[in-house]
Amino acid sequence: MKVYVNCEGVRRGRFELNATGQFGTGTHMISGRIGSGKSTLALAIAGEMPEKGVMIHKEGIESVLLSFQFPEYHVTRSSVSDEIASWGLDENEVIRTVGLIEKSRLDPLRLSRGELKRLEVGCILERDPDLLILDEPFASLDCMWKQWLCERLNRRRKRNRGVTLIFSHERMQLPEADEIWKMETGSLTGLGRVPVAISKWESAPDYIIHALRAGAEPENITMKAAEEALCRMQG
Amino acid sequence: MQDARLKIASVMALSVSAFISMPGALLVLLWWLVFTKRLKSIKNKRVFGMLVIFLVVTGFFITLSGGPGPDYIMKMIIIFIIAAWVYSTYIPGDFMSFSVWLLGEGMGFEIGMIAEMAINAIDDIIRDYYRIRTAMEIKGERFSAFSLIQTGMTLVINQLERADGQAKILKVRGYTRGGRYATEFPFDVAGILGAITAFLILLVSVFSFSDVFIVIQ
Repeated sequence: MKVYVNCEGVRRGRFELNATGQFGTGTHMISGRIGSGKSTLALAIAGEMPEKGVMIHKEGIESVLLSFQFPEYHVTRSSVSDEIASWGLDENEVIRTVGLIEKSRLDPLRLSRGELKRLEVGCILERDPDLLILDEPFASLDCMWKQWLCERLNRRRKRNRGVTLIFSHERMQLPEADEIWKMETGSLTGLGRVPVAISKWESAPDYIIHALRAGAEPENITMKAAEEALCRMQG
Repeated sequence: MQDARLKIASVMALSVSAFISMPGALLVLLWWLVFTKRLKSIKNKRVFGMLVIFLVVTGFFITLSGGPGPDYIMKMIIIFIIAAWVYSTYIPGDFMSFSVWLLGEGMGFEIGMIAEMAINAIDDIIRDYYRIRTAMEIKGERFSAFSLIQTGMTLVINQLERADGQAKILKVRGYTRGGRYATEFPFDVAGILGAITAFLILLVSVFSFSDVFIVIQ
């Protein structure tokens, strides 16, 4: 499976998007500051940007799902269980996975932002599409649920299941990745494959920077990988 | 038109002119053709198209109930194109400058700030609306009466959350009431001509409306 992206000089108001690249099977971490164009690129890759100059070609991909940064956008039903059913999923199973059994009758819009986020992200992960696009999936989640999300994404990666694009500026907990990309003022730059790309990642989370400065060579971008690299170095 | 005072006064004069008489509405349309960038001044044509459909449906029901439906549709579309024009030429700070100039740094500042926040919210609501539609497409859901209610609820809740956030930021920054604001009104000949014409249209419209009123009596 592969996604070819070619967006040169795509204008949206005063913002200009310039992104060229190929995303193969595996997990791609696309990092960048707020306002750098991550959400716009996520929309473009999902095929939801009608502007001229957006060229997205998908090879071997039949299903695409985009998770928005703001989970409220996804809500189309007036109870948590109906919302899960609207994704075509078994509500009993998903509601347990996302830890909302006691809130199944509640209106999703009455959940906290974090609860709603894990409900929608949980549903999207459960659908397991060929191309999974996650726009700021860690935003609003607490440590425990960030960990849960990382584990789910790691499982998907180990199964070698499709293309996963994670657009995030998360700096505390990250899942394993195969490639790292950088988004800056609307321009996308590929830093390469992990682990080689890690040393080129200027905006890496602090725990990676700390490990690199100490002379360690993390094998991946997770906190565990950074800790292991430090341990290896210390013998 | 760069001077916020002229812009807002013209919009008020043109809206009243279009609303009170049919000749006034036609003159406003002419004004729009001469003094604006015409169709380019309608920033979001899809949203505008939806508003026109809404007006046509409302006008249809007015006609069914024996009222002047076509007149209503015509007048309201013209008022909406004027609103679209002022929205497209809006420069952040326009309403603040106008309000502080008119009512001072107490009440004027507060009304101006509310107006600025409201106009910024329009962009947020439009963006939210498109995201919700996209999310529905992703789920494979069709647009229905129920989804319209759900969409409306999400839009309202998002706006309330943003308003809550803004209120908290103002409080944290120590805002209580009023404030100082340096108003700025660039000199602009085309704007002055446009505003004078708008007021002449208002006069014509008021007189033609008075004539109708006399004939009815």
